[in-house]
Amino acid sequence: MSHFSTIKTKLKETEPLIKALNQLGYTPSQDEKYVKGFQGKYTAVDISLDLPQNTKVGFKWDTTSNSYELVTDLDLWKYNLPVERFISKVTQMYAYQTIITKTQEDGYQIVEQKNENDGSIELVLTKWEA
Amino acid sequence: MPQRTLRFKIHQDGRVQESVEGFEGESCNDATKNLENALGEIKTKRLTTDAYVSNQNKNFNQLNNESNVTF
Repeated sequence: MSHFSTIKTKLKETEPLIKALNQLGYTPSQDEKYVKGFQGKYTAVDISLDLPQNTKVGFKWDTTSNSYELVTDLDLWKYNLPVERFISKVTQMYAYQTIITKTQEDGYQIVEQKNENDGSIELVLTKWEA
Repeated sequence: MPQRTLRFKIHQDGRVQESVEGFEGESCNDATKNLENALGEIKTKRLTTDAYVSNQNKNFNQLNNESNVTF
């Protein structure tokens, strides 16, 4: 039997998130830091990074959703990439890194990888089972 | 020796479409369970029955081979 699923990606694991941020050219830090969040309130974050144009963001573990959520002061957002696009890019790269890592652990190999015109990434992986 | 194939389309907004092929019975569900857990939340899932179809093809080929031998 086969299946076809649609999955809403959530930032649930630290390692692929760090890898994704590195891959996108950012320099994340896992030292404890405070980042200005909603209404300029300083919030403790688990991962922090400085974006271009002096924009600071952090990722804080949220126990309700069991995933990382973005902390930033939108009033101070100067990065020329809008915040929604930033989150999308990070989430897409997180999904990519998670898929690559987990499938390689299971012995799959990449046979095809394509960047599509609509901005999506297509991946085909195979494994021969005895 | 069946070939297992995983296909992914990772959309710009992080949505992932996944298709899992080449598994017998419901083992396809176990094959990607860990991955799906790490990725997020499954929104839709549809089981397809290509395993049944490919078994039928195998039988068909076997029949053909047998007939070749006979003639």
